Amino acid sequence: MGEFFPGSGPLFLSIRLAAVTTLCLLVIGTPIAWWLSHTRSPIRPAIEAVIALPLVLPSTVLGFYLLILLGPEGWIGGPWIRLTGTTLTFSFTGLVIASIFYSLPFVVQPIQNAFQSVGKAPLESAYTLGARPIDAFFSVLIPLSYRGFLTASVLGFAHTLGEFGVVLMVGGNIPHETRVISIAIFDHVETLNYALAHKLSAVLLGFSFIVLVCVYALDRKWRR
Amino acid sequence: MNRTNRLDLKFDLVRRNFALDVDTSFPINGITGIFGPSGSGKSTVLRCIAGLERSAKGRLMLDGICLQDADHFEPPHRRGIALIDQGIHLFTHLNVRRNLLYGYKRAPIERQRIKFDDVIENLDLAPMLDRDVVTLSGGEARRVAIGRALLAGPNLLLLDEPCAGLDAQRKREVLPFLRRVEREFAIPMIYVTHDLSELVYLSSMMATMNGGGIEACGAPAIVQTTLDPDAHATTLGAVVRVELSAYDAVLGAVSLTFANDRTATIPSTHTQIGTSVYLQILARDVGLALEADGEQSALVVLEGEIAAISTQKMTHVSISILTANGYLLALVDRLTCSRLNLKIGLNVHASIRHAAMLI
Repeated sequence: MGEFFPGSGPLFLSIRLAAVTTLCLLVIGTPIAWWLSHTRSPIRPAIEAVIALPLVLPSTVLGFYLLILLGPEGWIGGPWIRLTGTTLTFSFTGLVIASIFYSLPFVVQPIQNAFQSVGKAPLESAYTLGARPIDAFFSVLIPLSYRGFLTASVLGFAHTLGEFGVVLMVGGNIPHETRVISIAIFDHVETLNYALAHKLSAVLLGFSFIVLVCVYALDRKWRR
Repeated sequence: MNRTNRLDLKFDLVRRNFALDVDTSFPINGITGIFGPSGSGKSTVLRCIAGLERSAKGRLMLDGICLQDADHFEPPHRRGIALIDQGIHLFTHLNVRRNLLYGYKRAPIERQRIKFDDVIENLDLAPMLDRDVVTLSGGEARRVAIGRALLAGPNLLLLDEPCAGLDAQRKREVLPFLRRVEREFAIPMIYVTHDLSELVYLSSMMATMNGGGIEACGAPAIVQTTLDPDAHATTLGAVVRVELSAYDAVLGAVSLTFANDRTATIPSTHTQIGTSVYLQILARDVGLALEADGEQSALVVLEGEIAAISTQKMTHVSISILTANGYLLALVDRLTCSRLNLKIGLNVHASIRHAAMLI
Protein backbone atom coordinates (compact mmCIF):
# COMPACT_ATOMS: atom_id res chain seq x y z
CA MET A 1 0.00 0.00 0.00
CA GLY A 2 1.45 3.35 -1.00
CA GLU A 3 1.76 5.96 1.67
CA PHE A 4 -0.85 8.71 1.63
CA PHE A 5 1.61 10.76 3.63
CA PRO A 6 4.72 9.58 5.53
CA GLY A 7 3.52 7.49 8.45
CA SER A 8 -0.06 7.04 7.16
CA GLY A 9 0.22 3.24 6.85
CA PRO A 10 -1.35 2.60 10.28
CA LEU A 11 -4.35 4.76 9.33
CA PHE A 12 -5.20 2.56 6.34
CA LEU A 13 -4.53 -0.58 8.33
CA SER A 14 -7.02 0.60 10.94
CA ILE A 15 -9.64 1.42 8.32
CA ARG A 16 -9.13 -1.97 6.66
CA LEU A 17 -9.38 -3.73 10.01
CA ALA A 18 -12.53 -1.83 10.96
CA ALA A 19 -14.18 -2.49 7.58
CA VAL A 20 -13.41 -6.22 7.55
CA THR A 21 -14.47 -6.57 11.20
CA THR A 22 -17.74 -4.70 10.60
CA LEU A 23 -18.63 -6.88 7.62
CA CYS A 24 -17.88 -10.06 9.59
CA LEU A 25 -19.86 -8.73 12.55
CA LEU A 26 -22.95 -7.99 10.44
CA VAL A 27 -22.88 -11.56 9.15
CA ILE A 28 -22.27 -13.08 12.59
CA GLY A 29 -24.29 -10.58 14.63
CA THR A 30 -27.55 -10.70 12.65
CA PRO A 31 -28.43 -14.32 13.45
CA ILE A 32 -27.36 -13.83 17.07
CA ALA A 33 -29.54 -10.72 17.33
CA TRP A 34 -32.44 -12.60 15.72
CA TRP A 35 -32.09 -15.47 18.16
CA LEU A 36 -31.84 -13.14 21.16
CA SER A 37 -34.81 -11.05 20.03
CA HIS A 38 -37.31 -13.88 20.04
CA THR A 39 -35.97 -16.78 22.09
CA ARG A 40 -37.50 -17.82 25.38
CA SER A 41 -34.54 -20.06 26.18
CA PRO A 42 -33.37 -19.97 29.82
CA ILE A 43 -29.74 -19.52 28.69
CA ARG A 44 -30.56 -16.23 26.96
CA PRO A 45 -29.42 -13.99 29.88
CA ALA A 46 -26.08 -15.83 30.01
CA ILE A 47 -25.52 -15.37 26.27
CA GLU A 48 -26.49 -11.71 26.51
CA ALA A 49 -24.05 -11.24 29.39
CA VAL A 50 -21.19 -12.87 27.45
CA ILE A 51 -21.85 -10.59 24.49
CA ALA A 52 -21.99 -7.53 26.73
CA LEU A 53 -18.76 -8.36 28.61
CA PRO A 54 -16.51 -6.18 26.37
CA LEU A 55 -18.63 -3.21 27.47
CA VAL A 56 -17.50 -3.56 31.08
CA LEU A 57 -14.13 -5.33 30.99
CA PRO A 58 -10.92 -3.33 30.65
CA SER A 59 -9.59 -4.02 27.19
CA THR A 60 -6.38 -5.40 28.69
CA VAL A 61 -8.34 -8.13 30.49
CA LEU A 62 -10.21 -8.99 27.34
CA GLY A 63 -6.97 -8.82 25.38
CA PHE A 64 -5.23 -11.10 27.85
CA TYR A 65 -7.87 -13.82 27.51
CA LEU A 66 -7.95 -13.41 23.74
CA LEU A 67 -4.17 -13.77 23.68
CA ILE A 68 -4.50 -17.08 25.47
CA LEU A 69 -7.42 -18.17 23.29
CA LEU A 70 -5.70 -17.22 20.02
CA GLY A 71 -2.24 -18.35 21.08
CA PRO A 72 -0.61 -21.50 19.65
CA GLU A 73 -1.94 -23.52 22.62
CA GLY A 74 -5.36 -21.85 22.68
CA TRP A 75 -8.76 -23.26 21.70
CA ILE A 76 -8.84 -21.16 18.55
CA GLY A 77 -5.13 -20.60 17.90
CA GLY A 78 -4.18 -24.28 18.26
CA PRO A 79 -6.53 -25.68 15.61
CA TRP A 80 -5.71 -22.68 13.42
CA ILE A 81 -2.00 -23.54 13.41
CA ARG A 82 -2.71 -27.17 12.55
CA LEU A 83 -5.03 -26.02 9.75
CA THR A 84 -2.98 -23.20 8.21
CA GLY A 85 0.48 -23.45 9.67
CA THR A 86 0.43 -19.82 10.80
CA THR A 87 -0.21 -18.24 14.16
CA LEU A 88 -3.18 -16.06 14.88
CA THR A 89 -1.49 -13.86 17.45
CA PHE A 90 0.50 -10.99 16.03
CA SER A 91 -1.27 -11.28 12.65
CA PHE A 92 -3.97 -9.29 10.86
CA THR A 93 -6.38 -12.27 10.88
CA GLY A 94 -5.88 -12.58 14.63
CA LEU A 95 -6.70 -8.91 15.02
CA VAL A 96 -9.91 -9.37 13.03
CA ILE A 97 -10.98 -12.27 15.27
CA ALA A 98 -10.10 -10.33 18.41
CA SER A 99 -11.96 -7.27 17.14
CA ILE A 100 -15.03 -9.36 16.41
CA PHE A 101 -15.22 -10.35 20.08
CA TYR A 102 -14.37 -6.84 21.21
CA SER A 103 -16.98 -5.04 19.09
CA LEU A 104 -19.72 -7.71 19.17
CA PRO A 105 -22.06 -5.91 21.62
CA PHE A 106 -21.92 -2.72 19.56
CA VAL A 107 -23.32 -4.57 16.58
CA VAL A 108 -25.62 -7.15 18.19
CA GLN A 109 -27.44 -4.79 20.52
CA PRO A 110 -28.68 -2.21 17.96
CA ILE A 111 -29.82 -4.99 15.62
CA GLN A 112 -31.51 -6.85 18.46
CA ASN A 113 -33.31 -3.67 19.55
CA ALA A 114 -34.41 -3.00 15.98
CA PHE A 115 -35.77 -6.55 15.60
CA GLN A 116 -37.62 -6.23 18.88
CA SER A 117 -39.17 -2.90 18.00
CA VAL A 118 -40.34 -4.18 14.60
CA GLY A 119 -41.89 -7.10 16.45
CA LYS A 120 -43.34 -10.34 15.16
CA ALA A 121 -46.49 -8.91 13.62
CA PRO A 122 -45.10 -7.77 10.22
CA LEU A 123 -43.37 -11.14 9.85
CA GLU A 124 -46.57 -12.98 10.67
CA SER A 125 -48.42 -10.91 8.07
CA ALA A 126 -45.76 -11.89 5.56
CA TYR A 127 -46.10 -15.60 6.45
CA THR A 128 -49.88 -15.58 5.99
CA LEU A 129 -49.33 -13.86 2.63
CA GLY A 130 -47.28 -16.87 1.58
CA ALA A 131 -43.71 -15.78 2.35
CA ARG A 132 -41.37 -18.48 3.63
CA PRO A 133 -39.66 -17.54 6.90
CA ILE A 134 -36.28 -16.84 5.28
CA ASP A 135 -37.98 -14.79 2.54
CA ALA A 136 -39.95 -12.77 5.13
CA PHE A 137 -36.74 -12.20 7.08
CA PHE A 138 -35.00 -10.60 4.09
CA SER A 139 -37.99 -8.92 2.44
CA VAL A 140 -39.69 -7.55 5.56
CA LEU A 141 -37.65 -7.71 8.77
CA ILE A 142 -34.30 -6.48 7.45
CA PRO A 143 -35.70 -3.51 5.50
CA LEU A 144 -37.87 -2.51 8.48
CA SER A 145 -34.82 -2.74 10.77
CA TYR A 146 -32.45 -0.76 8.55
CA ARG A 147 -31.83 1.90 11.16
CA GLY A 148 -30.60 -0.73 13.58
CA PHE A 149 -28.20 -2.02 10.92
CA LEU A 150 -26.99 1.49 10.23
CA THR A 151 -26.33 2.16 13.91
CA ALA A 152 -24.69 -1.25 14.29
CA SER A 153 -22.35 -0.64 11.35
CA VAL A 154 -21.33 2.81 12.56
CA LEU A 155 -20.76 1.70 16.13
CA GLY A 156 -18.96 -1.48 15.11
CA PHE A 157 -16.71 0.40 12.71
CA ALA A 158 -15.99 3.29 15.08
CA HIS A 159 -15.33 1.05 18.04
CA THR A 160 -12.91 -1.14 16.08
CA LEU A 161 -11.15 1.95 14.75
CA GLY A 162 -10.55 3.19 18.28
CA GLU A 163 -9.32 -0.15 19.64
CA PHE A 164 -6.08 -0.04 21.61
CA GLY A 165 -5.69 -2.37 24.52
CA VAL A 166 -6.81 -5.54 22.77
CA VAL A 167 -4.54 -4.87 19.77
CA LEU A 168 -1.62 -4.25 22.06
CA MET A 169 -2.21 -7.57 23.82
CA VAL A 170 -2.86 -9.87 20.85
CA GLY A 171 -1.33 -7.98 17.93
CA GLY A 172 1.67 -6.18 19.21
CA ASN A 173 3.16 -3.53 17.00
CA ILE A 174 4.13 -5.05 13.65
CA PRO A 175 4.19 -2.52 10.79
CA HIS A 176 1.68 -3.27 7.97
CA GLU A 177 0.32 -6.22 9.92
CA THR A 178 -0.89 -5.14 13.33
CA ARG A 179 0.41 -1.59 13.80
CA VAL A 180 -2.94 0.18 13.79
CA ILE A 181 -3.37 3.92 14.19
CA SER A 182 -4.01 4.00 17.92
CA ILE A 183 -0.78 2.10 18.56
CA ALA A 184 1.14 4.28 16.13
CA ILE A 185 -0.08 7.45 17.81
CA PHE A 186 0.87 6.06 21.20
CA ASP A 187 4.35 5.22 19.85
CA HIS A 188 4.84 8.67 18.37
CA VAL A 189 3.91 10.28 21.69
CA GLU A 190 6.25 7.94 23.54
CA THR A 191 9.13 8.93 21.26
CA LEU A 192 8.10 12.61 21.52
CA ASN A 193 7.28 12.78 17.79
CA TYR A 194 4.36 15.13 18.45
CA ALA A 195 4.20 16.35 14.85
CA LEU A 196 3.30 12.94 13.45
CA ALA A 197 1.03 12.18 16.42
CA HIS A 198 -0.84 15.41 15.65
CA LYS A 199 -1.13 14.56 12.00
CA LEU A 200 -2.51 11.05 12.55
CA SER A 201 -4.86 12.18 15.31
CA ALA A 202 -6.22 15.02 13.20
CA VAL A 203 -6.76 12.76 10.20
CA LEU A 204 -8.58 10.20 12.35
CA LEU A 205 -10.68 12.91 13.97
CA GLY A 206 -11.61 14.42 10.61
CA PHE A 207 -12.29 11.06 9.03
CA SER A 208 -14.54 9.94 11.90
CA PHE A 209 -16.44 13.20 11.82
CA ILE A 210 -17.04 13.03 8.06
CA VAL A 211 -18.19 9.39 8.22
CA LEU A 212 -20.65 10.20 10.98
CA VAL A 213 -21.99 13.26 9.14
CA CYS A 214 -22.51 11.17 5.99
CA VAL A 215 -24.31 8.45 7.95
CA TYR A 216 -26.67 10.86 9.71
CA ALA A 217 -27.34 12.76 6.48
CA LEU A 218 -28.11 9.51 4.65
CA ASP A 219 -30.36 8.36 7.47
CA ARG A 220 -32.34 11.58 7.32
CA LYS A 221 -32.72 11.24 3.57
CA TRP A 222 -33.95 7.64 3.81
CA ARG A 223 -36.35 8.49 6.60
CA ARG A 224 -37.70 11.45 4.65
CA MET B 1 -62.73 -26.71 -8.06
CA ASN B 2 -63.49 -29.54 -5.69
CA ARG B 3 -64.41 -27.78 -2.49
CA THR B 4 -66.40 -28.96 0.46
CA ASN B 5 -66.43 -25.42 1.87
CA ARG B 6 -66.18 -26.68 5.37
CA LEU B 7 -63.88 -25.84 8.22
CA ASP B 8 -63.29 -28.44 10.92
CA LEU B 9 -61.30 -27.24 13.84
CA LYS B 10 -60.30 -28.43 17.26
CA PHE B 11 -57.75 -26.53 19.28
CA ASP B 12 -56.41 -26.73 22.80
CA LEU B 13 -54.09 -24.07 24.04
CA VAL B 14 -53.23 -23.26 27.63
CA ARG B 15 -51.73 -19.93 28.57
CA ARG B 16 -50.96 -18.55 31.99
CA ASN B 17 -54.42 -17.12 32.67
CA PHE B 18 -56.34 -18.31 29.67
CA ALA B 19 -57.31 -21.62 28.15
CA LEU B 20 -58.65 -22.05 24.66
CA ASP B 21 -60.76 -25.11 23.97
CA VAL B 22 -62.73 -25.17 20.75
CA ASP B 23 -64.04 -28.10 18.78
CA THR B 24 -66.41 -27.25 16.00
CA SER B 25 -67.16 -27.64 12.35
CA PHE B 26 -69.07 -25.26 10.16
CA PRO B 27 -69.69 -24.41 6.52
CA ILE B 28 -67.68 -21.44 5.31
CA ASN B 29 -69.72 -19.68 2.71
CA GLY B 30 -69.69 -15.93 2.67
CA ILE B 31 -68.77 -14.21 5.90
CA THR B 32 -68.80 -16.12 9.16
CA GLY B 33 -68.82 -13.81 12.16
CA ILE B 34 -67.31 -14.61 15.53
CA PHE B 35 -68.60 -12.39 18.29
CA GLY B 36 -67.42 -12.21 21.87
CA PRO B 37 -66.05 -9.91 24.57
CA SER B 38 -62.35 -9.04 24.77
CA GLY B 39 -60.30 -11.91 26.12
CA SER B 40 -62.79 -14.55 25.00
CA GLY B 41 -60.25 -16.16 22.69
CA LYS B 42 -61.53 -14.90 19.33
CA SER B 43 -58.18 -13.64 18.10
CA THR B 44 -56.40 -16.72 19.39
CA VAL B 45 -58.70 -18.98 17.37
CA LEU B 46 -57.87 -17.02 14.22
CA ARG B 47 -54.15 -17.25 14.99
CA CYS B 48 -54.49 -21.00 15.47
CA ILE B 49 -56.29 -21.33 12.13
CA ALA B 50 -53.60 -19.26 10.40
CA GLY B 51 -50.89 -21.48 11.92
CA LEU B 52 -49.31 -18.73 14.01
CA GLU B 53 -49.73 -20.60 17.31
CA ARG B 54 -47.24 -23.44 17.16
CA SER B 55 -48.05 -24.60 20.66
CA ALA B 56 -51.76 -25.10 19.94
CA LYS B 57 -52.62 -28.79 19.90
CA GLY B 58 -55.44 -29.86 17.68
CA ARG B 59 -56.72 -30.49 14.23
CA LEU B 60 -57.65 -28.27 11.31
CA MET B 61 -59.30 -29.30 8.07
CA LEU B 62 -60.15 -26.81 5.34
CA ASP B 63 -62.15 -28.02 2.35
CA GLY B 64 -61.32 -31.59 3.33
CA ILE B 65 -57.57 -30.96 3.36
CA CYS B 66 -55.76 -31.54 6.62
CA LEU B 67 -53.65 -28.55 7.62
CA GLN B 68 -52.88 -29.66 11.15
CA ASP B 69 -53.26 -32.75 13.28
CA ALA B 70 -51.28 -34.73 15.82
CA ASP B 71 -48.40 -35.50 13.44
CA HIS B 72 -48.63 -32.72 10.91
CA PHE B 73 -48.32 -28.94 11.13
CA GLU B 74 -48.64 -27.07 7.85
CA PRO B 75 -46.60 -23.86 8.28
CA PRO B 76 -48.53 -20.59 7.85
CA HIS B 77 -47.00 -19.72 4.47
CA ARG B 78 -48.31 -22.96 2.97
CA ARG B 79 -51.84 -22.89 4.42
CA GLY B 80 -53.35 -20.52 1.89
CA ILE B 81 -55.05 -18.69 4.74
CA ALA B 82 -54.54 -14.93 4.93
CA LEU B 83 -54.96 -13.04 8.19
CA ILE B 84 -55.67 -9.33 8.58
CA ASP B 85 -55.24 -8.41 12.21
CA GLN B 86 -56.18 -5.31 14.13
CA GLY B 87 -52.76 -3.75 13.76
CA ILE B 88 -53.17 -3.98 9.94
CA HIS B 89 -49.36 -4.13 9.57
CA LEU B 90 -48.86 -2.84 6.07
CA PHE B 91 -45.17 -2.98 5.16
CA THR B 92 -43.99 0.58 5.72
CA HIS B 93 -40.89 0.14 3.55
CA LEU B 94 -43.04 -0.55 0.47
CA ASN B 95 -45.55 1.72 -1.25
CA VAL B 96 -49.20 0.76 -1.69
CA ARG B 97 -48.67 -1.04 -5.00
CA ARG B 98 -45.77 -3.11 -3.71
CA ASN B 99 -47.70 -3.95 -0.56
CA LEU B 100 -50.58 -5.19 -2.72
CA LEU B 101 -48.25 -7.31 -4.83
CA TYR B 102 -46.32 -8.83 -1.90
CA GLY B 103 -48.52 -11.90 -1.58
CA TYR B 104 -49.46 -12.04 -5.26
CA LYS B 105 -45.84 -12.47 -6.34
CA ARG B 106 -45.39 -15.29 -3.88
CA ALA B 107 -48.61 -17.15 -4.62
CA PRO B 108 -48.42 -20.38 -6.61
CA ILE B 109 -49.78 -19.95 -10.14
CA GLU B 110 -53.02 -21.80 -9.40
CA ARG B 111 -53.81 -19.36 -6.62
CA GLN B 112 -53.13 -16.23 -8.68
CA ARG B 113 -56.78 -16.32 -9.72
CA ILE B 114 -57.70 -12.85 -8.52
CA LYS B 115 -56.75 -10.10 -10.94
CA PHE B 116 -54.88 -7.06 -9.72
CA ASP B 117 -57.13 -4.70 -11.67
CA ASP B 118 -60.29 -6.26 -10.23
CA VAL B 119 -59.05 -5.76 -6.70
CA ILE B 120 -58.06 -2.16 -7.42
CA GLU B 121 -61.50 -1.50 -8.87
CA ASN B 122 -63.56 -3.21 -6.19
CA LEU B 123 -61.66 -1.64 -3.30
CA ASP B 124 -61.30 1.73 -5.04
CA LEU B 125 -57.52 1.71 -4.62
CA ALA B 126 -56.50 3.32 -7.91
CA PRO B 127 -55.91 6.83 -6.52
CA MET B 128 -53.48 5.64 -3.86
CA LEU B 129 -51.31 3.09 -5.68
CA ASP B 130 -48.11 5.11 -5.61
CA ARG B 131 -48.54 6.53 -2.14
CA ASP B 132 -46.43 5.79 0.87
CA VAL B 133 -48.46 3.61 3.23
CA VAL B 134 -47.80 5.85 6.23
CA THR B 135 -49.83 8.61 4.54
CA LEU B 136 -53.00 6.50 4.30
CA SER B 137 -56.04 7.17 6.48
CA GLY B 138 -57.33 4.39 8.74
CA GLY B 139 -60.02 3.36 6.28
CA GLU B 140 -57.66 3.43 3.30
CA ALA B 141 -55.02 1.39 5.11
CA ARG B 142 -57.61 -1.28 5.87
CA ARG B 143 -58.71 -1.45 2.27
CA VAL B 144 -55.10 -1.86 1.17
CA ALA B 145 -54.69 -4.66 3.73
CA ILE B 146 -57.80 -6.37 2.38
CA GLY B 147 -56.53 -6.00 -1.18
CA ARG B 148 -53.10 -7.33 -0.25
CA ALA B 149 -54.67 -10.38 1.40
CA LEU B 150 -57.02 -11.03 -1.54
CA LEU B 151 -54.20 -10.87 -4.06
CA ALA B 152 -52.39 -13.64 -2.21
CA GLY B 153 -55.30 -15.78 -3.48
CA PRO B 154 -56.22 -17.33 -0.13
CA ASN B 155 -58.72 -20.16 0.26
CA LEU B 156 -59.87 -18.51 3.46
CA LEU B 157 -59.53 -14.94 4.68
CA LEU B 158 -59.41 -14.22 8.40
CA LEU B 159 -60.20 -10.74 9.69
CA ASP B 160 -59.44 -9.88 13.30
CA GLU B 161 -61.27 -6.69 14.28
CA PRO B 162 -60.30 -4.96 11.06
CA CYS B 163 -62.40 -1.94 12.03
CA ALA B 164 -60.95 -1.55 15.52
CA GLY B 165 -60.15 2.08 16.21
CA LEU B 166 -62.25 3.44 13.35
CA ASP B 167 -65.17 5.79 13.98
CA ALA B 168 -68.59 5.13 12.43
CA GLN B 169 -67.79 7.31 9.42
CA ARG B 170 -64.53 5.47 8.65
CA LYS B 171 -66.18 2.09 9.13
CA ARG B 172 -68.48 3.00 6.28
CA GLU B 173 -65.32 3.27 4.16
CA VAL B 174 -64.51 -0.36 4.92
CA LEU B 175 -67.55 -2.54 5.65
CA PRO B 176 -69.42 -2.07 2.32
CA PHE B 177 -66.18 -3.00 0.53
CA LEU B 178 -66.01 -6.24 2.48
CA ARG B 179 -69.51 -7.19 1.35
CA ARG B 180 -68.58 -6.35 -2.20
CA VAL B 181 -65.39 -8.39 -1.98
CA GLU B 182 -67.34 -11.35 -0.62
CA ARG B 183 -69.77 -11.15 -3.53
CA GLU B 184 -67.18 -10.54 -6.26
CA PHE B 185 -64.41 -12.91 -5.32
CA ALA B 186 -66.27 -15.67 -3.49
CA ILE B 187 -63.54 -16.07 -0.88
CA PRO B 188 -64.92 -17.34 2.42
CA MET B 189 -64.12 -15.11 5.37
CA ILE B 190 -64.13 -15.37 9.12
CA TYR B 191 -64.67 -12.03 10.76
CA VAL B 192 -63.96 -11.52 14.44
CA THR B 193 -65.25 -8.53 16.37
CA HIS B 194 -66.70 -7.36 19.65
CA ASP B 195 -68.99 -4.99 17.73
CA LEU B 196 -72.23 -6.84 17.09
CA SER B 197 -73.55 -4.33 14.55
CA GLU B 198 -70.64 -5.12 12.20
CA LEU B 199 -71.60 -8.78 12.27
CA VAL B 200 -75.30 -8.15 11.80
CA TYR B 201 -74.33 -6.17 8.73
CA LEU B 202 -71.84 -8.64 7.31
CA SER B 203 -72.29 -12.19 8.38
CA SER B 204 -74.33 -15.03 6.97
CA MET B 205 -73.24 -17.33 9.80
CA MET B 206 -72.35 -16.42 13.32
CA ALA B 207 -70.66 -17.93 16.35
CA THR B 208 -70.30 -16.51 19.83
CA MET B 209 -67.30 -17.09 22.06
CA ASN B 210 -66.79 -16.71 25.76
CA GLY B 211 -64.09 -17.86 28.16
CA GLY B 212 -62.03 -19.59 25.46
CA GLY B 213 -64.86 -21.70 24.05
CA ILE B 214 -67.58 -21.43 21.42
CA GLU B 215 -71.03 -20.96 22.96
CA ALA B 216 -73.39 -20.86 20.01
CA CYS B 217 -73.08 -21.23 16.28
CA GLY B 218 -75.64 -20.88 13.49
CA ALA B 219 -77.83 -18.36 11.68
CA PRO B 220 -77.13 -14.87 13.06
CA ALA B 221 -80.76 -14.22 14.04
CA ILE B 222 -80.88 -17.46 16.01
CA VAL B 223 -77.49 -17.06 17.65
CA GLN B 224 -78.33 -13.53 18.74
CA THR B 225 -81.18 -14.82 20.90
CA THR B 226 -78.53 -16.43 23.11
CA LEU B 227 -77.06 -12.99 23.90
CA ASP B 228 -78.15 -10.75 26.75
CA PRO B 229 -81.03 -8.76 25.16
CA ASP B 230 -80.64 -5.78 27.48
CA ALA B 231 -76.90 -5.39 27.03
CA HIS B 232 -77.16 -5.54 23.23
CA ALA B 233 -80.51 -3.73 22.87
CA THR B 234 -79.16 -1.13 20.45
CA THR B 235 -77.26 -3.49 18.17
CA LEU B 236 -79.27 -6.72 17.86
CA GLY B 237 -80.69 -7.02 14.37
CA ALA B 238 -81.01 -8.92 11.15
CA VAL B 239 -80.50 -8.45 7.44
CA VAL B 240 -83.33 -9.38 5.06
CA ARG B 241 -83.23 -9.75 1.33
CA VAL B 242 -85.67 -7.62 -0.70
CA GLU B 243 -86.25 -6.67 -4.34
CA LEU B 244 -85.46 -3.16 -5.47
CA SER B 245 -88.53 -2.39 -7.59
CA ALA B 246 -88.37 1.33 -8.34
CA TYR B 247 -86.19 4.39 -7.90
CA ASP B 248 -87.58 7.89 -7.59
CA ALA B 249 -84.83 10.35 -8.44
CA VAL B 250 -86.96 13.36 -7.42
CA LEU B 251 -87.63 12.09 -3.91
CA GLY B 252 -84.29 10.27 -3.63
CA ALA B 253 -86.11 7.15 -2.53
CA VAL B 254 -86.43 3.52 -3.59
CA SER B 255 -89.36 1.13 -3.48
CA LEU B 256 -88.68 -2.24 -1.99
CA THR B 257 -90.77 -5.32 -2.63
CA PHE B 258 -90.92 -7.83 0.17
CA ALA B 259 -92.29 -11.34 -0.14
CA ASN B 260 -96.06 -11.48 -0.62
CA ASP B 261 -95.83 -8.26 -2.68
CA ARG B 262 -95.67 -5.93 0.25
CA THR B 263 -93.84 -2.77 -0.64
CA ALA B 264 -92.12 -0.03 1.28
CA THR B 265 -90.39 3.18 0.28
CA ILE B 266 -87.19 4.30 1.96
CA PRO B 267 -84.66 7.03 1.16
CA SER B 268 -81.69 5.67 -0.74
CA THR B 269 -79.52 6.34 -3.74
CA HIS B 270 -79.45 2.77 -5.02
CA THR B 271 -80.51 2.84 -8.66
CA GLN B 272 -80.13 -0.76 -9.78
CA ILE B 273 -83.79 -1.62 -10.26
CA GLY B 274 -84.66 -5.29 -10.38
CA THR B 275 -81.77 -6.48 -8.25
CA SER B 276 -82.11 -7.91 -4.81
CA VAL B 277 -80.58 -5.98 -1.99
CA TYR B 278 -80.15 -6.42 1.75
CA LEU B 279 -81.90 -4.36 4.33
CA GLN B 280 -80.49 -4.10 7.82
CA ILE B 281 -83.23 -3.96 10.45
CA LEU B 282 -82.53 -3.42 14.12
CA ALA B 283 -84.42 -5.65 16.53
CA ARG B 284 -85.72 -2.67 18.50
CA ASP B 285 -87.40 -1.38 15.32
CA VAL B 286 -89.52 -4.52 14.99
CA GLY B 287 -92.84 -4.85 16.81
CA LEU B 288 -94.81 -8.08 17.19
CA ALA B 289 -98.56 -8.70 17.11
CA LEU B 290 -100.71 -11.79 16.83
CA GLU B 291 -103.24 -10.27 14.41
CA ALA B 292 -102.69 -8.07 11.39
CA ASP B 293 -103.95 -4.81 12.88
CA GLY B 294 -102.44 -2.65 10.16
CA GLU B 295 -100.13 -0.68 12.39
CA GLN B 296 -100.05 2.88 11.00
CA SER B 297 -96.48 3.74 11.80
CA ALA B 298 -95.08 0.52 10.33
CA LEU B 299 -92.97 0.57 7.19
CA VAL B 300 -94.11 -2.91 6.38
CA VAL B 301 -95.66 -5.87 8.17
CA LEU B 302 -94.32 -9.39 7.58
CA GLU B 303 -95.78 -12.66 8.81
CA GLY B 304 -93.57 -15.35 10.17
CA GLU B 305 -93.05 -18.11 12.64
CA ILE B 306 -91.10 -17.69 15.85
CA ALA B 307 -87.90 -19.71 15.58
CA ALA B 308 -86.10 -18.84 18.80
CA ILE B 309 -86.67 -16.81 21.96
CA SER B 310 -84.02 -15.61 24.38
CA THR B 311 -84.28 -17.29 27.75
CA GLN B 312 -82.38 -14.88 29.97
CA LYS B 313 -84.44 -13.16 32.67
CA MET B 314 -83.94 -9.61 31.44
CA THR B 315 -86.39 -6.78 30.94
CA HIS B 316 -86.38 -7.46 27.22
CA VAL B 317 -86.66 -10.60 25.16
CA SER B 318 -85.11 -11.09 21.74
CA ILE B 319 -87.17 -13.15 19.34
CA SER B 320 -86.09 -14.60 16.03
CA ILE B 321 -88.86 -14.88 13.40
CA LEU B 322 -88.55 -16.82 10.16
CA THR B 323 -90.37 -14.85 7.44
CA ALA B 324 -90.58 -15.38 3.70
CA ASN B 325 -87.76 -12.83 3.46
CA GLY B 326 -85.50 -14.65 5.86
CA TYR B 327 -84.95 -14.24 9.58
CA LEU B 328 -85.99 -11.10 11.41
CA LEU B 329 -85.02 -10.29 14.96
CA ALA B 330 -87.41 -8.47 17.28
CA LEU B 331 -86.81 -6.98 20.71
CA VAL B 332 -89.91 -6.79 22.90
CA ASP B 333 -90.31 -6.31 26.64
CA ARG B 334 -91.10 -9.33 28.75
CA LEU B 335 -94.48 -7.97 29.72
CA THR B 336 -95.61 -7.97 26.09
CA CYS B 337 -94.00 -11.33 25.56
CA SER B 338 -95.98 -12.97 28.32
CA ARG B 339 -99.23 -11.09 27.51
CA LEU B 340 -99.10 -12.35 23.93
CA ASN B 341 -97.90 -15.72 25.18
CA LEU B 342 -95.15 -15.76 22.55
CA LYS B 343 -93.50 -19.13 22.11
CA ILE B 344 -91.51 -21.02 19.51
CA GLY B 345 -93.64 -22.13 16.56
CA LEU B 346 -96.24 -19.39 16.98
CA ASN B 347 -97.19 -17.33 13.90
CA VAL B 348 -96.83 -13.60 14.40
CA HIS B 349 -97.02 -10.34 12.46
CA ALA B 350 -93.78 -8.39 12.62
CA SER B 351 -94.07 -4.69 11.90
CA ILE B 352 -90.89 -2.97 10.80
CA ARG B 353 -90.86 0.66 11.86
CA HIS B 354 -87.56 1.86 10.40
CA ALA B 355 -84.99 0.44 8.06
CA ALA B 356 -81.53 1.13 9.22
CA MET B 357 -79.48 0.64 6.13
CA LEU B 358 -79.77 -0.54 2.59
CA ILE B 359 -76.80 -2.60 1.60
